[in-house]
Amino acid sequence: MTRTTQQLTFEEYLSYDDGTDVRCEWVDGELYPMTPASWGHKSIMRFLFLQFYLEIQRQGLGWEPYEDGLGVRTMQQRVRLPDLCIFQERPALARNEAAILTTPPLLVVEIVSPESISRDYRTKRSEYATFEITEYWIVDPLAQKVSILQLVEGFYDVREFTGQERIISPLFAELMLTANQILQGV
Amino acid sequence: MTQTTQQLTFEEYLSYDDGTDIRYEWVDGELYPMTPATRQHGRIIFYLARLLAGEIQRLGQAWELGLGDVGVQTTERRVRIPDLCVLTLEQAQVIENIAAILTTPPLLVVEIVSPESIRRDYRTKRSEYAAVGIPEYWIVDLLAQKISILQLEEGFYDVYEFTGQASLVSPTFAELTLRPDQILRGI
Repeated sequence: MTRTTQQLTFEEYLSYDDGTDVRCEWVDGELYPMTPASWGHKSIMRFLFLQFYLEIQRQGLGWEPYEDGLGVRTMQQRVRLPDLCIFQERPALARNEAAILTTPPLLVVEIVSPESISRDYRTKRSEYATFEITEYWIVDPLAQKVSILQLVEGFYDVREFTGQERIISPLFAELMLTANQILQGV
Repeated sequence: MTQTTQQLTFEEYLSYDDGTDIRYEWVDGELYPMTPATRQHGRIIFYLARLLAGEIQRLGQAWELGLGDVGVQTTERRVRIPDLCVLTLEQAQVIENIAAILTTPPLLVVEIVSPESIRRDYRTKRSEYAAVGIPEYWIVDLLAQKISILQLEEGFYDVYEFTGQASLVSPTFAELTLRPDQILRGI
């Protein structure tokens, strides 16, 4: 993600339109266009979305999963577009309102790409914890591992899973998935 | 820190005055009074303040020290009051004549751990102070007899622990020689 050089207010960010369909995150006033996801990235996103959706149905949890494009305003000056997020209940937004939420989702998934490593493992680790997102998954096809970060007293504890290891998610305690299944997106 | 039960807006927090000298942090709309520091805490803060002030002067830096009297707004609904902080003159000027709450990150903050603040200092504030971009965060822990220096790197703190007579490594005060045992004794 390379950034443009303009400083935008939140209102300017909401109405920003450069004629392309490129979505942008907004960090400390600056726009960060999201580079197009790789096919692998998209496959993982879709696979996880379906797995979450099915598990939520199966358990009757009533939670709401959303794929990318949903904005989360983690700080006054930041709007992130997580690859996947799950809300406890359907957000109460008007239909014509910008899809940017200011309350924390239960869970967020980020899929690592070469230019997002520090951002996902470091910056967002502090940011999402402060915003009180209970569980944060970092799916890393580069390092071939899935990290599940659990919020405990305002800071994430991390557990890593690789290969055939079954991932352990505090929120989805009965979910049966291995790290490989997630990384392969099938 | 026990909380009072009222929910205050930021403006209400700024003008809150219950007639006591008690300072309050503001966390998710609720007031958390800063309980009076122990004599031990006070001694450590004074010791650090003396040393850091001396170094700041020696370096000729345009910095000031806040001693439990400068608030740092970490989220829309939280204002923390670090035991000690280093701020630039520029930052100080912004809060010269108004409620001393910084909305930009100070250069350094120090928290002294007390039995009821352990997880808050090592965990909650570790995320919060990193998210607002405070480059350096010290945790002075009398209970564990160690000093942790948290360095901000790409939005997350790496922790470096120091005990006994080891020489503290502080990026902000790179030429200063500080020892944990001296700091913890406050002399």
